[in-house]
Amino acid sequence: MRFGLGPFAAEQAGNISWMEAYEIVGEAARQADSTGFDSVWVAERQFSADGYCPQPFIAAANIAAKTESVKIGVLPIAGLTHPLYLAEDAVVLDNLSGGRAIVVPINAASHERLAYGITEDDYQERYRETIEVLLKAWAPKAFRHEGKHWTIPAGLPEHTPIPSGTVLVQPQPAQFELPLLIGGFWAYGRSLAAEMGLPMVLGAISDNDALNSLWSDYDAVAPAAARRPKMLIRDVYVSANDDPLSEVADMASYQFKRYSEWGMWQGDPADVTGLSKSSLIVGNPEQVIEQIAALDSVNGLDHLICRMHFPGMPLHQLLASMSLFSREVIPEFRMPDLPKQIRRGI
Amino acid sequence: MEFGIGLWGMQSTRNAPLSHPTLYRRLAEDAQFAEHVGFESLWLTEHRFWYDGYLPSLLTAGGYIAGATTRLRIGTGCLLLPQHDPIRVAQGVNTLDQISHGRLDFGVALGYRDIEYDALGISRKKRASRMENALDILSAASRGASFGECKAYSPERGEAAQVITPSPVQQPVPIWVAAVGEKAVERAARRGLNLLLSDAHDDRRAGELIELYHRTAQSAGVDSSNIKFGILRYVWVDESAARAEAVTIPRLRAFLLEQLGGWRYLSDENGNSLGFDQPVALRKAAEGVIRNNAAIGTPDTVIRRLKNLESVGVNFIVARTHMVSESPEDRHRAMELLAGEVAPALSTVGRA
Repeated sequence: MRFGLGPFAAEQAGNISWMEAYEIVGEAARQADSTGFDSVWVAERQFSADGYCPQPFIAAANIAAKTESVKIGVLPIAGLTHPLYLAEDAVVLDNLSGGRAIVVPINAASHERLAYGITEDDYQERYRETIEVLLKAWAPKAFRHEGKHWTIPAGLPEHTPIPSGTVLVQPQPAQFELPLLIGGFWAYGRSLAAEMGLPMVLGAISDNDALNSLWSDYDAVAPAAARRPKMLIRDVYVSANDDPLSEVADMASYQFKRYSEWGMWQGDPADVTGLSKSSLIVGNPEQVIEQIAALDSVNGLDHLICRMHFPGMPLHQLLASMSLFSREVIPEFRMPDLPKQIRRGI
Repeated sequence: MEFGIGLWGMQSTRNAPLSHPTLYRRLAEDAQFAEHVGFESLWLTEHRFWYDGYLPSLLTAGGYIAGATTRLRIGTGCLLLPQHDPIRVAQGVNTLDQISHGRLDFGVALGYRDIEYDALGISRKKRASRMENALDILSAASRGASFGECKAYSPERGEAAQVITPSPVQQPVPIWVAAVGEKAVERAARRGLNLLLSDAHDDRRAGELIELYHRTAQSAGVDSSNIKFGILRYVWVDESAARAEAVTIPRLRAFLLEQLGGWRYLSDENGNSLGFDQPVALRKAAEGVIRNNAAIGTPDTVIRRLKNLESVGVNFIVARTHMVSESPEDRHRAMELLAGEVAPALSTVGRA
């Protein structure tokens, strides 16, 4: 199994200012890059009072400058504005990172959609059309797109005609094929992923019990080979202390309260014990290994994206949790029957 | 006089083809070198749908430079604002300002290539009104205010009045308006924004436009005493005058002819845009830029050329030392001479 770090949000929470929040992202990305993580992720939300990162490609580019090999995943909201902006941000990230970009377009929350004056029905079509445009824009061919919401190029009568009637997005991605996965955080996205045969990422908002049926629904439509890699996001915290959950309870609660406010999750965010059973991966290294192994045995995961930075978590606490994770958890999933002496250290 | 270094467009041209990941790696190295020799800022330039991979996403590249440097300011010279969604840009400006610890100089321009507007489904005819609207939103977002306050906002969007988050470190982020014609100068002056004049202006014209700025500001009740009056200039400093003439001038000529011809950026004396279809007039216009507006040669020559700008009211130069086809070593040597020999003669190169 592969392991990612993130998605980061760089929000202002607890005593952490925005400037510090982005410093934490950079420092954690550096450590991830040098301690065996496979990827680092940044997500987008707009108009969040805590300043949740609204432009994840800028944060991702910043990570690229501070790391050498780790893949850089971005979860941008698709469908609010013209798809070419997203296409261009992504190709620039892919080139400046030396071909390390992964893009997972996600859906807008209702407050974001409304801020752009877009209805729910229109939004689904805009999301789908955005995915179609991205696939064309990242292919090494000039293209033309005619959809309900966007025509590219538009061919407006006041402009000098484009003889070919096509455009080619520049620069081209550094990778021959820029990885595009669908954010499976909403029913429409999951069915679209299956229909288009694109891999899907399931989010922290899907409870453990729900995951298997979401993959099954997908498998019923998409050819099995298309769904790889199978990616999942989970909030993860590792600590050697007696009661790891108590160390992150308030922060985890904050996280899920936000999901609830955005209309993406139903439940009681104050019930942290409940959350730890349904959604979180929290414990000492052995407990965390057990929890990941259990998820893997049911879901057959390829890539677990670990949201280890809880809102407001200070840097030292994050780095300590990451350090335990990379030494005492990751090795367990790199070799079957790993001798315990290696994981625990001799 | 202060100096920024420019313009990085991440181009792999016919005369200097190079893979884009290499170009971006060199951007980080160039930015670190610029910081090391004491430049105040490094400036990026935007275009889209051009064969050489011209940089279409300045704020993304800005995030990368912020990660590679610690003191250098990051200039957009310029982001083609009417081609973008203003809310997205405002969010990006504030995010980049936070990530860079307040190092953003945000320059905006209208853009002029039809294909760029057409691909995005935006009428080029609306570029001036879109610019004004976007500047309203940026100015509100830069103060942390609701963009619902902007009168220009509601007709284009839904009703929700939202606050752009995060707010920026700098309050406000310095905005620079690129100006070729008088309307853009007046637009900047009415708002009290910094001015960025073009490499197509000779020194005399630059002085006239700065005068126009002061007059417009005065009648609008705007204080223009702390405004930055910037200008783009092709600048190359070389120990050898003969080498500058033999190597740099032909390099600049090839660069200018290709881009000016392809993009119809320059006009003849009657205001008609010049392209590849008028090769003689195009060559003449390019020679005008090289002979009248560029500063290429030994430190003494370059100092003499740039001092004249000081006398017409320019107080900031974005030195276009990056002309695409030179080697990184040559470029760094020219940057070092500019920072070390030329800038001190024109007061100071940096704020440090």
